[in-house]
Amino acid sequence: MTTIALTAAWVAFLLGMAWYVAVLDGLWAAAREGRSPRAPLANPLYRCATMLRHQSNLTEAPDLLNWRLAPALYAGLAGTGVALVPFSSTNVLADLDVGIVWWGAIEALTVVIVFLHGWSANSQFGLIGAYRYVAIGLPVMLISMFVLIATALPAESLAIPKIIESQRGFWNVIRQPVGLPLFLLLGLSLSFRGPFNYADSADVAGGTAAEVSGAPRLVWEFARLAMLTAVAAVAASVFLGGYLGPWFPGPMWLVLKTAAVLLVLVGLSHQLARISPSRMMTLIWTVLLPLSFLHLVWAGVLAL
Amino acid sequence: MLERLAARAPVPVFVAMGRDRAPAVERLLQSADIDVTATPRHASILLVAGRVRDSDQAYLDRIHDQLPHPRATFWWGDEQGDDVDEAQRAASFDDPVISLRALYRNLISGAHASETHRLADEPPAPWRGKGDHGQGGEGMMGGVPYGRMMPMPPTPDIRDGLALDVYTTQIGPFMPYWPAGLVLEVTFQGDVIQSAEVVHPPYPPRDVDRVPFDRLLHETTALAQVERARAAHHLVCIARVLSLVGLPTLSRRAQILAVRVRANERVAIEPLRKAAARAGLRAALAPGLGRIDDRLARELGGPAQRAAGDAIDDRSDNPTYTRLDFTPVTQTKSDCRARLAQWFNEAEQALALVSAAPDAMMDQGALVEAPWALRAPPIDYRVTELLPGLEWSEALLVLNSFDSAALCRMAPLEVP
Repeated sequence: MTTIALTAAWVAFLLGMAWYVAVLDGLWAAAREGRSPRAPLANPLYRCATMLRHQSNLTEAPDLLNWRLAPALYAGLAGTGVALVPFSSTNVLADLDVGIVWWGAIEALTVVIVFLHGWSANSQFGLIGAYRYVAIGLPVMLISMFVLIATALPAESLAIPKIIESQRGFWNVIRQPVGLPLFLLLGLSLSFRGPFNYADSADVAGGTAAEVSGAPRLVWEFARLAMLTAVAAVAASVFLGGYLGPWFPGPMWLVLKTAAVLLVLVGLSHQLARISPSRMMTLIWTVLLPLSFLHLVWAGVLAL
Repeated sequence: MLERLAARAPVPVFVAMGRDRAPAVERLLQSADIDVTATPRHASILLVAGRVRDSDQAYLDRIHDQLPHPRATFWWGDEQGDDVDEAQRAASFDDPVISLRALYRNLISGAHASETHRLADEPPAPWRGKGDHGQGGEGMMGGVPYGRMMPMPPTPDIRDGLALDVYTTQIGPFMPYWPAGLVLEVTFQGDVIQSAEVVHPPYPPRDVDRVPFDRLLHETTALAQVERARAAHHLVCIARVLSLVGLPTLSRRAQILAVRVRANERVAIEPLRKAAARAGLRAALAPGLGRIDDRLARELGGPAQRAAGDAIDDRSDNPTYTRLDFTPVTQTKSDCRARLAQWFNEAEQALALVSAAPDAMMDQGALVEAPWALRAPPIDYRVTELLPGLEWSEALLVLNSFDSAALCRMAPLEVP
């Protein structure tokens, strides 16, 4: 595949999966509310049009440069994450020997950008959302790194294509069963959804997005969906064998596995209540982080 | 093309609750055509439900000016003068969804002009920030902004020793998931509340919730009406808590149930309760959060008292209820969890009473427990005493674990 075709596939994958998640969200919410869904396939487009029709507002003395840049940077990070994922054994947009390290950088920069988005609006609820996000986002990132390093051990490489190839015998989800659930928590945290929505929740009137309207809000909301897609695509690759599979071509397997992971992520985000930030921090530092370290030890022993 | 697509979207509405003659806004949620937003920045229409208190008018204007263009105001439930366009008002008993959609469509197409600012677009205080991004003075985090030290906590930190700068802000009266009408001046350090003071008191129980209880004072009233109103009131209270713990879909379901209960439909609360339990509702409410002592619970009365273990309920002395073997349900812990469980139990009990005696009537003036705390003069204890040291999300849960009558008594405006 040429670079142009790969880039087109990358864009189509990001947009298509973002739309898929938005549709899933609508269907899941309607089922939980006990009513029939409203134009489930077209509703995401209608909402996009509404956001575009809205004025892009200003607040009192915002840090305008950072406020406007944050949504674009967040979307850019999500796009970079998807670029790391191979569509097949020969087709990957960003074929890096240190793909896992690059993904770690994406996670770290996401924490910075979400904080920047909340802080730069110069608004109290944005700031509270930003504070809360940093408190939760940092330890979750540590869990993710332990889990991802564990997937790199059998492959003896930090490159995502090599991690996929190391799963020709067994998928990592079988060798390292705790890894995928822990990594899914990262997905909810990076896109602040459901039980990990400390940044943009209704209790802070939309949090870091409380003051945003118009096109910047559309970019921000798209970036959240794109980041969830990136997490799902990476999870599908490093735990579920990525493009590997019988009968269908590699790209189709990647799409199917990513869609399946997204279905689980959307379900988790609708089905689980959120605990207070301090209790979540306690849970992460005292239970999940030690668990992820034990998981790494287990993966290391298996790889010996 | 953009206009045509946008016109088909759910109508983004921000709701500002008024004090008097406010309709049951949860009726809006029955329609998938309405999207109630958490912030005015995401809305096209400001829906004013009922009559706004005079002292809240300035807050309402500020909310209005935060809506992005194109925007419009819609009044629901208060009789407006002839100067208000027919397209922008509805009586409290009307269903406003069709009017809201028409107004929204006209806004999007440009047929209805976007409303201009109500307040002067000027900063409330001169901005004196320095640096390329207005971030302050010299040093990390603008160490010495405006020639003074960073405002650090005046008292030792009350959580984990991490000293963040403190800031004070007013919150309310139109914030979602916030007691309607209440305005607090809150001092934060990070997301932890250092102190809070009442600026404006909350609104008393809504007219729409009081109807059958007020009617009973003057005429013979069906037990079913009273108990349905109790169940609907409690379901709306439950819905607020569900939203705050990140379960917006279950919250919406609870509000739709409240509407159906008022419309005399047969509904079951148990599936909602089970869904909330499966979602981890108990884990989301920390044990002991918002606990009040027995003396305060007794002073408040109502569900808050019964959540503390006191089986005090006026219905115990009402012959219509005693014939149905009525026994008050109670909890023991007197915290947020207990008060939420109390609402669930009382709502289920209320619907069970309706099923047991669908045609029972009560004489005028019969003694019946209201669904909220005793309506009496303010008590010494202030709800603001419960808040210092709590994270913002916990503070919201504590505030919303009390009904509006209880909050009125715990958050009166201090008379200097």
